Amino acid sequence: MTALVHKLPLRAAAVPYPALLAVLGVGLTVSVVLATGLGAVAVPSGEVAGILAHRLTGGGDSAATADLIVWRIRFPRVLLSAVAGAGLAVAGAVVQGVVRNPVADPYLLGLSHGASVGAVLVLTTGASVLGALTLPLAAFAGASAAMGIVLALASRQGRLLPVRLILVGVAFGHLFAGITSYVLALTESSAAQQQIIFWLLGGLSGASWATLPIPAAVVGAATALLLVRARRLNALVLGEEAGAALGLNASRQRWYLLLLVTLLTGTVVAVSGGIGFVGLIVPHLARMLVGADHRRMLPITVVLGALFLLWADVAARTLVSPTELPIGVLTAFLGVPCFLLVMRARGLAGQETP
Amino acid sequence: MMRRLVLCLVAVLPLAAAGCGDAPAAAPVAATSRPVVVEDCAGKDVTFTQVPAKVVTLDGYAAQTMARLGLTGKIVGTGYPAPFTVDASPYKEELAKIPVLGKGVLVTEVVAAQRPDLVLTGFSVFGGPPGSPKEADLATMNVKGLAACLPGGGRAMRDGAPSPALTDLEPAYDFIRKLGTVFGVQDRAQKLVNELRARQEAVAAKIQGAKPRVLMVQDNPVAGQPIKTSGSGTLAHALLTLAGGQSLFADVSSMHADVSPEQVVERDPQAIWVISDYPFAKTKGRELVDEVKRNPLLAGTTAVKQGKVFSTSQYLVSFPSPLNVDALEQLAADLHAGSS
Repeated sequence: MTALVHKLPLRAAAVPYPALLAVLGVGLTVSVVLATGLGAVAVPSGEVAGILAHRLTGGGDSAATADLIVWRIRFPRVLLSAVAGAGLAVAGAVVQGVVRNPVADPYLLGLSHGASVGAVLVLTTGASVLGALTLPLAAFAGASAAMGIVLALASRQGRLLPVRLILVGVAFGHLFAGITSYVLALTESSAAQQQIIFWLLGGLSGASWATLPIPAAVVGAATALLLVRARRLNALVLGEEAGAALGLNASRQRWYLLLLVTLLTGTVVAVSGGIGFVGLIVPHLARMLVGADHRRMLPITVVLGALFLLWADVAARTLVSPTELPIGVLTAFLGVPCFLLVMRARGLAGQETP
Repeated sequence: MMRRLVLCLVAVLPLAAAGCGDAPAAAPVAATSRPVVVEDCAGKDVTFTQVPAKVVTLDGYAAQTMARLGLTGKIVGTGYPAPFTVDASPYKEELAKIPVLGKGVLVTEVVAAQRPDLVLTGFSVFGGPPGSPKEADLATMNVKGLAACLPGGGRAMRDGAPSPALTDLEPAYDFIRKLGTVFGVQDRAQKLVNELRARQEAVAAKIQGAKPRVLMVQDNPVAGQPIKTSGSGTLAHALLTLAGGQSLFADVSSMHADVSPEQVVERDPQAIWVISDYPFAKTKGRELVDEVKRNPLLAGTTAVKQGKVFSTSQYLVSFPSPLNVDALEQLAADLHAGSS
C-alpha cells in the first residue's frame, strides 16, 4: 500500500485522469486477487488462481478444503472489504461536501454512533426476532433514527444549515456514544461485552456470500446516483449564496444527499461494524490526486476506499496470524502514514480543501 | 444391547418410518439412537445424524472435557492451549499431543482448513474474539458448533432480565452430558458427572460454621482505580458459594466487575481469593498473592491481618470444565484451613 501511494502522486501529475482511473481500477482488480491469496492458512498461489478461474467461469462446487477457504470464506470477505471501503469513503466525501467541512465523516453526524446503539441493544438483550438479520437491521435502524433526529433538530423552517448540522450531529454523536458505554457497563455477560467491543472497532469476519449482495447493490446504486448529482454537489460546496445564484435549492439538496448517505452508511456499518477513518481520509486522498471536482473525485474515492479497506483487512487478518486484529486499529495505523505521505508529496498541506 | 434396542425404538417410533437396520452400518457406536438432538446455548436444536469424527476445539477448555470422556483422539486441532498448563496427569500428557493450531482462539480459516465436522468452544458463545468463527461462518463451513453455555452468555439474557447468580457447576456438567449424547458415550458422561458431583458434595459435607466474607480479586489493586472482581454470574462465584464462602460483592454480576476500594474497606473481607493468570495482571500466583498481602489499600482488612489470602489459576475457574471441581476442593481447603 505504501509503495502504491509513493508512486501515485507523482504519476497523477503526469497521467491524465482516465489513465489514472484505469490504473487504480486495474490495481483494485489485482489487489482483490492478491488479497484472496493471503490469509491465516497458506494456499499455494497457483491453487488460488485455479479456484478463482474455475469459479468465475461458472465452475461448480468442489469438496476441496482449499475451495472452501478461498471461495467461500476468503473471497467474499475480500469483496465485502472492498465494497465497505468504497461505501464508507463515498459517504465521507458526500458528508464533507454537504456540511462544507474537511473533518466531517459519517461519525461527525452521529450516524455511526446511532448504528452502534442499535447493534449494542440487540447484542445485550439477545433479541433475535428476525434471526441472523436482526443485528444488521438494528444497526441500520439505529443509523436511520440518529439521522432522523439530527435532521429534525438541525432544520429550521425547512432549511438545513451546515453549521447546525455539525453541532447537532456532534452533540448527538456524544449522546449515542454515552448510551453505548452505559449499556456496555451494565452488561453482565462478558461474552456480549466482547462482541460489543469488537463490533465498535469494526470487523469483517463472518462475511459470506449471503452478506454481500445487499451492501454491494446499495453502494453501487448510491454511487451511481451521486455521480449523476455530482454537479449539484459541486455547487453546494460553494456555499448558500453562490448555490442560490446557480439556481440550487441548497437545503433540499442537503436533505436528499444526507438520506442517501444514511442508506449508504447504515447498510455498510450493519455488516462491518464501526470502521472509522476511511470516510474521513480517503476523500482527501482523492481530492489531492484529482482536485475537488466531485465528478472527478467521486470515482477515485470509490476505488481508493475499496483499495484502502481491502489492504487494511488483509493486514488485520495476517499481521498477528493466526489470530486477528480489529480492523479499526489497522485503518488508523495505515491511514495516517498514507495520508501524510500524499499530503507531503503533493505539497498541499497549506491548501484549503472543502 | 437391550438398552440400545429400546433407544432405537424410542428414536424411531415418533418418525414411524425408516427402520433401525440401515443406520448401524455407517456409525456402529451409537447409531441405534441417531439422530440425536441437543440444544445450543440459544435454545436451538442441533441435530447429529452421525457421531462426529473430526473435532476442532477453539480453546483448551473444550479439549479438557473431551479428554475426560476418552475422546481426545477425535480432536484434530485446538486453539488457546493455556488451560492445559494447569491440568494433571494423565490428561496433561494426553492433551499435549493435540496439534496446537494457534495460541489464541482459532480464526475461521484455520478451523476450515481442518475440515472438522464439529467445532467446540468452552467459551459460552462463538465469534467472541476477532476473526473466530461466528455462527454464520460455521454455516458456511457446513459444520456444527457447540459451546459450553454459561447463564448470561446468551440464554439468560434473552428476556433482558438480569442473569441470576450462578451457584452450582451445572454449566460444566451440562457440557459433559451434551458431549456424551453427541458422541454416543452417555454412560461415560453420566459416570463422570456423578464422580464430579460426589466430590462436590464431599466438599459441601465438610463445611461448617459461619460463611466467611471473601473478596475475589483478579489483579493487585492500584490506588485510585476500581478493583476488578468476579461477579455473581461467574463460575468463580459458584465455586466460592459451594466452598462455603460468601462473595463480598454478590451484588455485581459480570466476569470483570469494577468495585470501589472504599466499599472493600467498608465491607471488610475475611479472606481474599486471588484469581491469578489473567492476562492483564503483571504478576501471577505466589508473587501476586504476596503483592496483594502487602497492598496498603487492603492492609486494614481482616483478611490481610489474618493472612488469609490465597490464589487459584483462572484456568480452573473461568469457564466450564471438569477442572472446576479441582478448584473447588483447593478453595475449600484454603478457605477453611487453620480457622484459628
